[in-house]
Amino acid sequence: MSQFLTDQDIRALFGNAGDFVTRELTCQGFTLYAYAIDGLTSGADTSEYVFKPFADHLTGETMQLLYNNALRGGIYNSVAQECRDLQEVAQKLVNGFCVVLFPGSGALAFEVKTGEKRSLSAPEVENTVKGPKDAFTETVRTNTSLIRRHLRTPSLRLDETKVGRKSLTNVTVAWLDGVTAPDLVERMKDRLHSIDIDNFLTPGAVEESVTGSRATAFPLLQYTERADTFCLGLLDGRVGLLVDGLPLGYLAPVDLGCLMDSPEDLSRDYLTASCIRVLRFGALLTSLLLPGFYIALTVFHQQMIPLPLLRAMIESKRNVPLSSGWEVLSLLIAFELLQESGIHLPQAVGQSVSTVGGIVVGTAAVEAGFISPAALIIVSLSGICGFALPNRDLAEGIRIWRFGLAILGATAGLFGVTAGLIALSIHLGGLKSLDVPYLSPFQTNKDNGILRKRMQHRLFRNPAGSPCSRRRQR
Amino acid sequence: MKRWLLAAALVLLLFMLPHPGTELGELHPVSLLLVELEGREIRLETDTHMIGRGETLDAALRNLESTTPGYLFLDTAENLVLRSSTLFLLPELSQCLRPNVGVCVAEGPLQLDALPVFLKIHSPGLPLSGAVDEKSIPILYETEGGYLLENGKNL
Repeated sequence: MSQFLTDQDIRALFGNAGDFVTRELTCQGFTLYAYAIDGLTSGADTSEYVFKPFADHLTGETMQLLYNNALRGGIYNSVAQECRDLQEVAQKLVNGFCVVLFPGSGALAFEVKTGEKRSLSAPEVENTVKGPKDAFTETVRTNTSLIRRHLRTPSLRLDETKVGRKSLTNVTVAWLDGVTAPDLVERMKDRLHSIDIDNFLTPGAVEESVTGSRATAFPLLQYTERADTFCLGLLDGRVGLLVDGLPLGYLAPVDLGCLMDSPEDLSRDYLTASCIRVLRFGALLTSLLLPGFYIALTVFHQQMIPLPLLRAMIESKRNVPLSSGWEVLSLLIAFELLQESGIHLPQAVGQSVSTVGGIVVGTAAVEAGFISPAALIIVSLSGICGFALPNRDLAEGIRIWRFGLAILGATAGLFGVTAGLIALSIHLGGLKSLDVPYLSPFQTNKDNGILRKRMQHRLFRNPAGSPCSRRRQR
Repeated sequence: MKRWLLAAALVLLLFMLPHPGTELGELHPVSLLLVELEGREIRLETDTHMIGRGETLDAALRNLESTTPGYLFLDTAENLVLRSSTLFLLPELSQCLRPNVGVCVAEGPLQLDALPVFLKIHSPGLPLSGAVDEKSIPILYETEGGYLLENGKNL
């Protein structure tokens, strides 16, 4: 195949792209052609580790000899790979290689990647006080090196593949040999191979493609920006996924218990961590149910409210023009809008908008009699409890269902909220991530329940993922 | 698509449920209800000084509801004060008030202003559910500057 590669074909690959650079080289009287993509390769390294050895050291009486010598160490470069066809040439070029064409003999790719990439930084979302501070970056190779530093076992497996017809994104499947169930790994690889999509660049594309785009607001892949959390997931017998260009690692299978785990849980003593986990589950329920319950109680079941509180609420509600249902729903929408505006504005401005929106506008609205203080407190409390959830995707799923339960509470009171909760339980019970039930921690509850067990009692891995070896420690 | 249609139909059905809600701001909660006879009429008075009269309890309640601004809310009633002449209404009252409402019988003139606070501290201890067949109902007197609750006097 390689002898059919020609200068015209390679030039035609990228058309007249401005960053596609070519150069003719003369070596031992033969004309060679060098190609690289400016910005992906380092000009200095190309000169030093490709062109200079070509000029100084490479010898050969025929083109084939030149090619063979260059491949077998004649060129001072750690990586020299043969390109067998045009597609391979293109792949090497877009991955930071300099390709040198030996007309009639073949093409060799030399690695001269530019060093321009984001350096390691502390996690922005999953912060901890005591834990490690290294977060994933956009470069998959940096991320694999981070994992290797945390997990030095040779049984760590990293299988690389490309996904995306146009994006040709490098995707790495990571797992621990002897721990992760082989069929989980195979299932993940099969899913990646079956993906036929233009781009694999965005988290949405990755998550929907890998999970099969289920009609649910709940995450079926767990993402983390922390290398230590990713490694703990691998040690628990799960499969990891790293996508070039995304500063995240994905873990599957996922269940509700995994999504409620915080990196802080393992940096505190078990007692404190257990109390905080209970609080976190309480926050989950509060965030989900509070607006619905409030509307149901204030519209349908006022007799359940203690009299002094009821009197105070009636007094505060007397001059409010909106009904309790509309009041809470409009506040929930306002809360979402505040969050959304905070995300899209620059950080400093976003904080100001949130503060002004939350405090000034909220207080003014209460004073003006547009809303009652109780409704404002309920919606704020519900929102704050949502922020206590460690996984943003889960929190967003809860936000959607919170609206649904609030509407059901406004239409049918506690009957509606209960019906909604039953529907939610059925929905969650029917969800599976890589064929592992979403509610599995509540199905077995031996080692992975609400409380954080003492390290010496954390003997077994989560059985849901059917790990090869269930025992964590002796 | 079918699933979404089904969900929308279910939500519509919820809107058609027979029990409509009541807005919190329209409620007129009552914590104490005094039932006495005024001539041949039954007179109801709440701790919020709403008064209803009628020849039967139902008529008095309807009158009370019509004179009360908003929606008369008896589900929050904590105490029921009767006169010995209205004890015969206990079975009917147990149909419209919560079963654990405290019951006592008042003797003599009575000012309702401070009575809810007094009864909150000195609960009669006899719930409405048990008062229907009870012969010994606590007696409430108004004394100088206060009230006195005497338990267990046979009527």
